[in-house]
Amino acid sequence: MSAVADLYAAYSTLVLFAGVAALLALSIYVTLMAGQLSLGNAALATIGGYTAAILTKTYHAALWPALLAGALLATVVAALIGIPCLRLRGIYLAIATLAFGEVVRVAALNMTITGGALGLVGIAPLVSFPHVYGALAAAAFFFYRLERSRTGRAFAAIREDEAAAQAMGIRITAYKVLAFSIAGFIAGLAGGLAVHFTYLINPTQASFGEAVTILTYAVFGGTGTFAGPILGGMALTVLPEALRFLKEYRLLLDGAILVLVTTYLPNGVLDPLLRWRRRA
Amino acid sequence: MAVFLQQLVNGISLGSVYALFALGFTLVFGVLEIINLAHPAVLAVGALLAYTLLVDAKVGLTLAAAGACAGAGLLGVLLDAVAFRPLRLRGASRLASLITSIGIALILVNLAQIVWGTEPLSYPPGTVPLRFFTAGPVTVSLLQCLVLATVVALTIGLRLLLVRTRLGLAIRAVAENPQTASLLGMPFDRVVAFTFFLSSALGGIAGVLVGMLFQGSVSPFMGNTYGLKGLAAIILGGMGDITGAVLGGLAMGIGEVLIVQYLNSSYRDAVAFGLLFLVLVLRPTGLLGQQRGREA
Amino acid sequence: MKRFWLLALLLPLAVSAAWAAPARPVKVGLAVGLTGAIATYGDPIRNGFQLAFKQINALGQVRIDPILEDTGDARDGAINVFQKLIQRDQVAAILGPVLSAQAFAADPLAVQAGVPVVGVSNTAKGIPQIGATVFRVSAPEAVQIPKSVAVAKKVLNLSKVVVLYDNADDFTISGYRTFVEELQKNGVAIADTITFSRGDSDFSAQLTKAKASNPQAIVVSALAREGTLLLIQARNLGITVPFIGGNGFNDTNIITRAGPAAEGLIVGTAWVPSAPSAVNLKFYGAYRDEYKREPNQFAAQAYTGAQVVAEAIRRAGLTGAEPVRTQRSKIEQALYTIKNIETPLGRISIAADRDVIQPRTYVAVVRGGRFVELDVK
Repeated sequence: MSAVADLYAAYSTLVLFAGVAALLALSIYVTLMAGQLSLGNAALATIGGYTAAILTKTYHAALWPALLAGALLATVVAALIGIPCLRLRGIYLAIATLAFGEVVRVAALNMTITGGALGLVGIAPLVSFPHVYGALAAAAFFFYRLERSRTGRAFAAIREDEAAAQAMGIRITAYKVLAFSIAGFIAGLAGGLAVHFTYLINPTQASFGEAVTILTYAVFGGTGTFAGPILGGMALTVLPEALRFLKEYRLLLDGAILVLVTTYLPNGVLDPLLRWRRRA
Repeated sequence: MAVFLQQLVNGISLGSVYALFALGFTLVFGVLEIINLAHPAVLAVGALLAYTLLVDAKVGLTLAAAGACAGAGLLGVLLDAVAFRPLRLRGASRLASLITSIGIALILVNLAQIVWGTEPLSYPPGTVPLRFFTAGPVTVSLLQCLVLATVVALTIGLRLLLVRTRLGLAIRAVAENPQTASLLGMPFDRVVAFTFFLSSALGGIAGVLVGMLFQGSVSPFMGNTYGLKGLAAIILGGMGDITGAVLGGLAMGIGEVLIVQYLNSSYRDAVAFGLLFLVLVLRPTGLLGQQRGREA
Repeated sequence: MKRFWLLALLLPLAVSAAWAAPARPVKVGLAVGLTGAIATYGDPIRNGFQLAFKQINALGQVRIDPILEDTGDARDGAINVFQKLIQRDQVAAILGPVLSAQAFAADPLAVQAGVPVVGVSNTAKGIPQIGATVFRVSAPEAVQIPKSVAVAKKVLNLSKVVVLYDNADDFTISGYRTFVEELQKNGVAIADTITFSRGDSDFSAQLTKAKASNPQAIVVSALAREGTLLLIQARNLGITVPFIGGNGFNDTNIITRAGPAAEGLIVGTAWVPSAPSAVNLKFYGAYRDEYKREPNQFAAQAYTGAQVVAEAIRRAGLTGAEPVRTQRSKIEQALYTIKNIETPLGRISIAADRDVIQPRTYVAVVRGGRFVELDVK
C-alpha cells in the first residue's frame, strides 16, 4: 500500500491536472454534441476559477459552495454569450467565442479584484483527488445518461441537420442555449477545482492557446462518445510529462504524436474500440 | 489633427502587417476550409531563413527575401503532404486538420528554436533600407510604404491569378466543389499542393517584411501574436475572400491604434475583440462575406 | 587483461576524487522555462546555472548534480516540474522558476516538502513570504528604481515625463508602480501613462501618443525584447528625448540590436557587465567563451543563485550520503548564513526574511555603445 501512496505522491498533481483536462474536454464536447464549435471554454473556466478563488480566499467560503458559485456564474455568462451567438455557425461562432475569451482575459488583466497580470496568489490547496475525480465521475455519469436521453437525441439531430431538426419540431434555440449552459457549468467547475490545487490563477488561463488546447483534447480523444474527450484530455496532459526524458526534443515528439495519431485515427483514439464494439 | 494623421499612418502600417499575414491564411481557408494554425510558425521560419541567408550566406536583401519565400513555400507543400493530405484521403473532419496543424506548429517552432535559438534577432544593419519621409507633422518610413505596396500588389496579383489563369480556375473549381473538380479532370492534389505553396510563400514574405519593419523581433515565436489577430482579420472581412481579408486586417490595425490614442491602451485588445464580437453578431458572416453557410 | 589496466588507471583517479570531494553529488533541481516565448529569458538563466555549476564542480569543494527541467511558460508546467524534482528526483534544493507567477504556483509544493527554493528572477512582492523555504537573490525593482529616478532627475533636470509599461507582465508592472511612486516623490509630473502587452511588435501608436505630450524623457518598464523595439521605433518616429528604463533594459543585447537608438538610455540595475570585481570578470569572460554571446542580467542573477546554493551546500558540510531530508534542512539553515558573499551582482547577503540584501546598485547610461556608470556626486 505504501508503494501506491509513494507513486501517488510522485504524480499527484499530474493526476489532478489530467482530471481537470478531462472535465474541460467534456465541456467542449457538450457543445460539439449539438454541432456548435464554441471556443469560449478556457474563458469560462477562468471565470469559474476567479470566482471560486475570490470566495474562498477573500470571503473564506467553504470549498463546495465556492465551486458551485463559480460554476453557476460561468453558466450564466455562457448562456448570455450563447444567445447572441445563436445565429453564428461554424467558424464564425468559433471566432466570436474566441473574441469573448480575449475580452475576459484583458478584463482579468486590468481589474483589481482579479489581481492584474500576476493574478490571485496564495489560494488555499483545498482540492485533492476525491474532489476532481468525484466531479469527473459525476460528469461522466451525466453524459452517459445525456447521450441516451431525449436531449441527447435532439443535440444529435441539430448537429446532423439543423433545418431538418427544426422541421421535426425540435426547439433549436432552447437546446443550443442548454448546450452552452452545460458547457459553462462544467468549465466553470473545472476552473474552480484547478485553482484550489495550483495556488494561483492568472489571466493567461483564458488565452487563445488554452482555448485551442481544450479543443485538441476533445478531438484527439474523439467526439463520438463522452469517453473520447475524457481519454483525450488525460492522454494529452500526461504525454508531455511522459516525454521528459527527451529533454529539448520533448515537444517535437509531442507535436509529432499529435500529427500521427490524428492522421491515423482522425475520429479520435477511441474510434477503433467503438467500431469494434459496433461490429461485435 | 497632426497626431490623428500620424496615428492613421501607424494604423495603416500595423494593419498592412495583419493583412499580409491574413492573405496566406485566408487562401488556404478559401480553398480547403482548413484553419491552418501552423501559418504563424511558417511566418517565423520565413523570417529566420532570410536571417540565415543575410548573415551566413551574405546575399542581398532581394535574394534573401526570394529564398525565404521559396523555402517557406516548399515548407507549405511538405506541410500539406504530412499533415493535411492524409486526412483528406481518409475523408476526415476539418477539426482533425485543425489539430494536425497545431501539431505541426509545435514541431516547427521547436525545430526553429533548436536551429536559431530563442534570442530575438535583427537583420544586419545596412541590409534594410532605413529612410523616412516627413510631410508636415507626419513621418512615414520607406519600409512602411514598401509593406503597404507589397500588400496591394499581392492582393491584385492573387486576384488576377485566381480570375485570369488556368491554375486560378482550377483552384477556384476545387474550392467550389472538390468532387466535381476531380471528376472534370482537375489534378486535385496538385492544385491543393500549389495552394499551400502559395499560401506559405506569402507567409514567408510576411515574415521577412515583419522582420524588416520591426528590427529586433525575428524569433521562432514572432508569429504568435498574428494567429488570433489574423484569424480575426479574415473573419472580419468575410472568410475566404482575399480583398476582405486585407480590408479586415487594415480595419483591425487602424482600430487598435485609435483605441490606444483615444480610449484606453490597457483595454486595447478587449475593445478590439469586443467590437469583433458585435460585428459578428450583427453580420454573422463578416463585413464583406456573403451567406454561404460554411461550417468549420 | 585490458580490463585490469583500465582499472589500474582509473583507480587512483577514483580515489583522489573521493578524497577531494564528497562521495556522492548533491542533487539540485533547475526549473527553467525553455520552450515557448519564455525561453528568451529562460535560456540565459539556464546558461548562468550551468556555467556556475561547471566552475563549482571543477573547484572540487562540493559536488553538485544539477538536474534541468523545462517548465514552459505556464503555471501547470512549473507545478509538474517541481513535483518531479521533489518527489521523483529527490533533489536537495531547487533553483527557479523563471516567472513570479510560476513561483506562486509551484513554490508551495517545495515548502510542503521542506525543499529550499532559491528564485533568481522572481521580483514580485511576496515571493519569500510564500513559505519558510523560499529564498531569492533577485532584488525587487523597488531597490534599483529610486536611485535611477533621483539620478535621472538631477542629470536631466526633469519636470515632466511620460510613462510606458507592459501591463501583461508582473515584473514590468511592479517596476511601473515603483517608478510612479518615485517620480511623485521627486516631484516629476507624469503627463501620460500608456500600456502595451508582452509580445507586441509595433509600438508606434503608443510612442506617437507619448510624443504628443512633449515629455522631457520617456520612462519605460518593459522586458528586453519590447524595450529594444521601443527604442528603435521611437528614434524612427523622431523622438529624441532620453529613455529611462527598468531592469528589463539591463541587457547588452539591447545595445547590439538597437545600435545608435540605445544611446542615452538610463537604466537602474543590479548588475553592470563592466563591474570590476574578480567574480564578475570570471563570470563575464567564461560566459562569453562558453556561449559566444554577452551575458545579461538574468544570466548574472542565475549564476549568483547557483553560487549561493553551492555555498550553502559547502557550509552545510554535506557528503552527499545523508538522507535527502537532512540535506534539505541543512541547506535551508545554511542559506540564512549567507552574508556578504562576492557575486557578479556585488556583495550580497540573505536576510532573515529570506530576501536578498544587495547594497550596491548602479545607475548606468548608454554612451558610445556601452553601459557606463552614471554617477552624480
